[in-house]
Amino acid sequence: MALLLNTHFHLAIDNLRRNRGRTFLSALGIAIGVASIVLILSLTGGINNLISANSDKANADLILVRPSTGKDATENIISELTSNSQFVKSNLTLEDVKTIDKISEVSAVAPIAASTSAIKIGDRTIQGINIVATNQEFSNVTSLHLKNGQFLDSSLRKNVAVLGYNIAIQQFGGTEAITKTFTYNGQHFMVVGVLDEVNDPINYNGINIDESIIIDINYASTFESSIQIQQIDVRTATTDAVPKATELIKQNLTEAKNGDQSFSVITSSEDMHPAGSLLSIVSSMLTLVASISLIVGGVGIMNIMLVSVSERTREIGIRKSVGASSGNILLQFLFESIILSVMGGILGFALGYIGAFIISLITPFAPHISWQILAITGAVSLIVGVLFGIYPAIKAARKDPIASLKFYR
Amino acid sequence: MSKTSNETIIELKAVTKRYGFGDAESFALHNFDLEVKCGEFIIIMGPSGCGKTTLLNIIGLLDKPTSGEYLLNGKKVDRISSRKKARFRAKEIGFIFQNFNLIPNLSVIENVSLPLIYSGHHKIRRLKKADDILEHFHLREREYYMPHQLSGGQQQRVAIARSLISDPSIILADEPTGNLDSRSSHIIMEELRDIHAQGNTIIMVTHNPSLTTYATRVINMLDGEIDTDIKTVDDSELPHPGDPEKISVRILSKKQPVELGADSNTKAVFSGERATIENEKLAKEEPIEETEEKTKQDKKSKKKFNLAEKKIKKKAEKDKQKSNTENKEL
Repeated sequence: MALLLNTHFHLAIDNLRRNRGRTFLSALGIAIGVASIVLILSLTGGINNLISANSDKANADLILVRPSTGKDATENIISELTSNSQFVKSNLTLEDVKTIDKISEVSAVAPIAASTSAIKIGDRTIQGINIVATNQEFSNVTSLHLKNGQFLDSSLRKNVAVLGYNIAIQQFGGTEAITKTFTYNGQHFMVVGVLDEVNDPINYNGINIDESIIIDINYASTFESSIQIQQIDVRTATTDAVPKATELIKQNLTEAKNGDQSFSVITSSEDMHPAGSLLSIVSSMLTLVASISLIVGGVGIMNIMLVSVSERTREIGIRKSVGASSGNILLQFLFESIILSVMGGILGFALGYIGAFIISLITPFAPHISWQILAITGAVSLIVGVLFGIYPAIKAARKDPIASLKFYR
Repeated sequence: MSKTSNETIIELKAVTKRYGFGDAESFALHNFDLEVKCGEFIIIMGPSGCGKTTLLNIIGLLDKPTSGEYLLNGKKVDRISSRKKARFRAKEIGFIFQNFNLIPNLSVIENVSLPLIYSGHHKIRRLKKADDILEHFHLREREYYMPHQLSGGQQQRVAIARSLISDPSIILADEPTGNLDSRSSHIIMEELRDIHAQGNTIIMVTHNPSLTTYATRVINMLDGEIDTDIKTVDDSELPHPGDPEKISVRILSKKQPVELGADSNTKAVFSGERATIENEKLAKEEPIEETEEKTKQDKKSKKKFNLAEKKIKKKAEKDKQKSNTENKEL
């Protein structure tokens, strides 16, 4: 059997070699489809990498708790994308933060309650400032670095604030803004620290730290009647503890909230970025469109194989008369279409790779070609070869030898 | 198995091939009985449409009879699966066609080695065997030519080489000289005669009456039935695989006069001892000069063309039924 397969393989190769031009053109159809898929996957992979480049390694031990409507995951993504999460009524509370903090696997917990409002510096009123209410562990969880001064601390007074890098420069006249004061929501705050530049506008917190003022959430809850916690960042002591901690958070929170499961616990680093999930939807759409060109390529192969079958009717007759069974003929033609398709796949992968490389020269991100993309293209081209090759092959195998021998072109 | 008796290789019993139904019904073969012994060289003649090619196709397992029994080497093959039929075609049957039927985009050696693909041989072995057999046909230097670069006669010799490559029990030739001029035809017939001399069984369809001189048995067909069936060589005198000394006997039939139809009965109908006597007479009258030489040459190539005895079943059958098929009245 192995010998026969080998023979058919060589037969197919020989025959394709004899019709080089035709072989190349029909493989090109598949190649274009595969190339566009490779290009799309590698570029979205590259963008994804760009988004999570800084944090991916540090985020292996990160768990996020977000409010959710309790619906299934896909609906959640859509509601996340379509509605501004800041207006979603959150039912996470400071109590929940305490509940999570009690779990022994958890090393740091930081709630985030971000809002946009106006502050007053002296007699100047500035609109649209991001206010992030959190606790002192936030700097550990998100690994922030200070340019000047210090972060929130329980030993300090409550009405202190830490400035983001850009806010300090734009509104407080530079990074040396410590001891400067401002008014927010009728409360006076004093600046105790200025953060170093983070330059990571897209991150799992969904806030731009450089453009934010960070205040203490416990203090904020005293003058803000209903504080909205959009997210609770949890870090575990070790990466290995993540699954267990996730389970415990789910369990304990559900218990503490009397069975209310209107929250979601996220661990996978890609899902932490709202932009990442949008990107994955867009890229899967694009891949779907690209696979249409793959189908076109497959139809091209089927077409060329049908032509080949009909113009080789006589050859089929001769082969059958010298002892080829229908199975032999079927395999011979099936191998041809599979080889065509796989050749197209290889060519397409190379084309896609080159295309992605050229695009990377003019864009800031490097294309990301993983073994998964290689596996996908390999599998897809194989499947296309079988799918579109089986019909011509069956047609060839079913030919009547006597009629085929009488066939003249 | 005694050396003098030849085994039955093909047996057709009441084989019928019908085309169409009802009013359009016609019979290509009608209750056709045929028994072919190993070593026979049968020429089938008859007007077109009398079922000659259908007969060959059925014997060659390309077609299946509407009814009747077909035994090949003692095995019933009329109702076996198409896969098994293909295996039989690959190993037991060699085809020679009027229009050569070489695959145009394969070289000569690849064409010749084609049947070996389907009986499961490695490429090197295939090419080696094809090379050996092409050498015998003096086509070695044409091995890597494409079929269209060869003359008709050469192409047909390639086709004959292909039909022989897997040592088949039987060679079926459908008007092998139909597309050739008389000189090439002669060469082809000489080749077939050689093959026959080495003990191969040949069934050949032709329209050319002069070619019947090569045959040991001439069958005339009419409307799907046997019209006349004349054996010119006694069964015991048929060439035997691995028995080169028989060759001279076979050649006796070479110059046997051939008539068609009713006339042939008087001259060509004989049986048993008489046939032998007459053949011997013929041998004396017309000694064949090249016999000695041929025998030597054949001994050399005997191994290659030896229709392997192991293939033939040990079932020896004395042909007592000979006279039945021999003397059919018009």
